[in-house]
Amino acid sequence: MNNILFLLSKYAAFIVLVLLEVINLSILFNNNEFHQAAYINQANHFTNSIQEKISNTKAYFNLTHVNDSVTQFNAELLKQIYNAPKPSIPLPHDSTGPLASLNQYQFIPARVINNSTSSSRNYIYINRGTADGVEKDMGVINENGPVGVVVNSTEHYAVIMSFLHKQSFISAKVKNTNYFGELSWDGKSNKIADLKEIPKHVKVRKGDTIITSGHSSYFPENIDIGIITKFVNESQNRYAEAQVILFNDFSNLNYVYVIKNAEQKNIQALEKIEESLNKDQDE
Amino acid sequence: MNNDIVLNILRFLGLMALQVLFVNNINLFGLVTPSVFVLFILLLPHAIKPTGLMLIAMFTGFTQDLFQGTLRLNMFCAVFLAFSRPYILSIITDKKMDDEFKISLQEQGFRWTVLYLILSFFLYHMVYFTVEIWNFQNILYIIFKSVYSGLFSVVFSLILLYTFYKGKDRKY
Repeated sequence: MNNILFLLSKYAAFIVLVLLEVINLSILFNNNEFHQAAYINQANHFTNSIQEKISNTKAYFNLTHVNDSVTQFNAELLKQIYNAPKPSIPLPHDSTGPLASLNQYQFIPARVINNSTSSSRNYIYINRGTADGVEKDMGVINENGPVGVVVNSTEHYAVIMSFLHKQSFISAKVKNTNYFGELSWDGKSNKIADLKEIPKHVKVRKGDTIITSGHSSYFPENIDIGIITKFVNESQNRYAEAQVILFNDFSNLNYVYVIKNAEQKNIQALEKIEESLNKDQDE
Repeated sequence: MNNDIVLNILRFLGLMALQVLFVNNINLFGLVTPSVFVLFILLLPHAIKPTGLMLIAMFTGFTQDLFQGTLRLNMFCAVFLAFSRPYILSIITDKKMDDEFKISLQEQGFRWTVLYLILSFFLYHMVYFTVEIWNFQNILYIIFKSVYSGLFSVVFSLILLYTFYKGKDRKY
């Protein structure tokens, strides 16, 4: 008995280490999945209010830059408004039916209060929450392209899983073609992403622009994402791969827009049905 | 002893504030955020038992995790560092480590301090990036990031230590 106690006291430090680290590791590895990530990244009110104050201060130093990009964005929008074809049929006030999709997307502006890029699992915190209509699974963009997807929101804050996250995927296609692939991030440079699963016969060249495909309920179609810089065409694979330089500068995010997709619930319901059908087939 | 507790609580608050308000916002080249708050664990009195040290380190890491939005990563590394601290100390110290032994720049001199900081910070970042990236094909990338972050943390800590250096004659 005395021997056991002696051993225990001798290795107490090591035993405590193993205990504590096992607890930590189990929390760490159990929460790596997309949806569980939301649980651990609860938009904590105390830390977020501090982060918001810091970002208030930092915002002043960025004002010139923000103004520039807002002006540029406005110019782009003006161009689109004045060049758009006039609708020949007057729109009915009661916009149900196929015309409802005209207002399918709504945008909620928000400011980034905390953002990281140096980790391989990055999250962005914004100062809008359920009170402003921000909910889980909404896509987030800014004027340069997609930013991420909301994973959790509280009353006044929300957590976005940044595109710079190992488990982030965007369904993307090459501009002016209908072939799409999957855009993901390898966890290294915050400027570069990989476009995977492009069919081999598609002629993709260096310098082609990559846009969102509109196949997911997160992002509308035709948002610019980046430019292809390198093309990998290994003969043994069925699909080709390309390296993409992103338009978005993730280390300098100030304002973002949360996309409210009116059709999202319907699309997700359909996706669920498809999933269960696939499951049945497997069995 | 009482004085020590007050000093350490103040140091904890100070380093946390510095890390959260300033250092976390540096984000050098999108690659490095030095972890200066670890200095708090390194400077805790020698007299604290390993178990106590680990519990304090766990709390420190947890607080930092809340602010950085990392999933218990800092907590894991901090506990590990607290466990290895006695071993690091025994490697680099020639003298006998009795109750009089003090971990401070004044008492131990410049060379000892730099060695202590380099070993500790490199270990901390090495564990941090290994757990975070968790892919052994990227081992060179992990080492590169650890060396880089460790270097900045050491420089930052030295600047801090010399800022609060209390007189007497300096030993080199």
